[in-house]
Amino acid sequence: MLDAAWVPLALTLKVALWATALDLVVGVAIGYALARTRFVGRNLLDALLTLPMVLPPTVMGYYLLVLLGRQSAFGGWLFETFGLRLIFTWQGAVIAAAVVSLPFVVKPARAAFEGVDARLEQAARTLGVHEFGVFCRVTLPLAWRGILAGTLLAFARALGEFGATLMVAGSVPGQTQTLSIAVYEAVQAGQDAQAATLTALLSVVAVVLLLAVGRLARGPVAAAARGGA
Amino acid sequence: MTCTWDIHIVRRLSPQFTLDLAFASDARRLALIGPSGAGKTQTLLAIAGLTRPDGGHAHIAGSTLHGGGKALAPQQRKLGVVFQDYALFPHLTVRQNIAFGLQMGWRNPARDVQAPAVARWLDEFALTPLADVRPERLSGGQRQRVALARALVGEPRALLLDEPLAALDAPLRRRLRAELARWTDRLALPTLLVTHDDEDLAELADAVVRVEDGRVQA
Repeated sequence: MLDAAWVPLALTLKVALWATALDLVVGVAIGYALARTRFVGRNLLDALLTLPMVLPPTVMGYYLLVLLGRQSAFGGWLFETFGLRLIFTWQGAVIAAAVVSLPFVVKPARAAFEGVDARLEQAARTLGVHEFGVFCRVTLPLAWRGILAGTLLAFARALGEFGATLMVAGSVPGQTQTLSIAVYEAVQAGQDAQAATLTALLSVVAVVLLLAVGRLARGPVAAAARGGA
Repeated sequence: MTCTWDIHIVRRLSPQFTLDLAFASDARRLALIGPSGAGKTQTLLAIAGLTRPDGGHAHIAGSTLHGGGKALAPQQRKLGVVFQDYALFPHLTVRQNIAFGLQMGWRNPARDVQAPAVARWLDEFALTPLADVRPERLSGGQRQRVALARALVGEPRALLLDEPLAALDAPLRRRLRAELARWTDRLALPTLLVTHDDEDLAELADAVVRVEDGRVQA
């Protein structure tokens, strides 16, 4: 019983942590670009990045299948070059969870970067500090709360990912069957006690995470994070 | 011949407004004065290298900052800039703010950073008792002194002051003007003051350039 819960929980945590790490790197970079630079297609990029929030996860999963499958140019290249197969693997589940939860990092990160007074960055430049130093010493310390709040939300979203993960990675016990999918399978199989255990587990983790987000983010950053959720 | 200030900034700010400001002066303390929107702050930002002008040149005391096809990065210009509202780093203590430009790389100075120059300027500006305080707890006058100390600690070739008194109420403005005058007098550094307030001129400037609509007024 406990073992049956432990395996999908460990897998879920692994997938969600990897997905969140990807989101953190990609989301902070995109959020910074959206906040600090002007380029053609900026609004389009912003809209595209919001899609995972409004489209059904199954639709995102379908897009990923088309993009990452071995028949596709990109998926074929990944397999030829790295021998990497993303469909029906845990790595595929990571990609699905990362894509679906990416807006939860991008939006608060963008808001947090926009909240940093550009004069402070200019002052740092006149004091001789190079661009990377300005980012690490001024921009990031003033924006990290918003970024961290967004990252926790992304982690919570990745933990609960279902639709896109099922489409891309399927439901292979011990390999791609995450908690949320295990709940679905348990209910389908009439294992009500198993479903209840898994549900309680996931709920507790989610509540703890949301409490942490609430503590971290206050004021405008919290508003942005809530707007994103 | 080399002047203290030999500046010509051309910058297209909008289809309707092009900044085209040229002045040369040997005054050590020079003021740019004009109504808001005249292009004074834009000129200062261009001199500091924080915006890229479309043309012109900037020579200060014989050093070329930009012109003749080259332009130094703001990091290389060695200018002390005091921004409007001072732009102190809110997440760092007074000591860390002042030490900011002495430490390169990607990490901020430690809270207990020890450097002779920092100690000297803390002492000079009577900020030693406040060294471990963050800017939010400082008064307007203390903030101005921190901003000056931060700008001066790296031994800049010149000081640029952008409306340093604009945000203050009248009595405080008078007091800080006198204090600033004393400092710019003592420092013997070329100082460019941007202001919209004629009252600043008598105490803070040896010569004046009047700016309107992006041009120098005769």
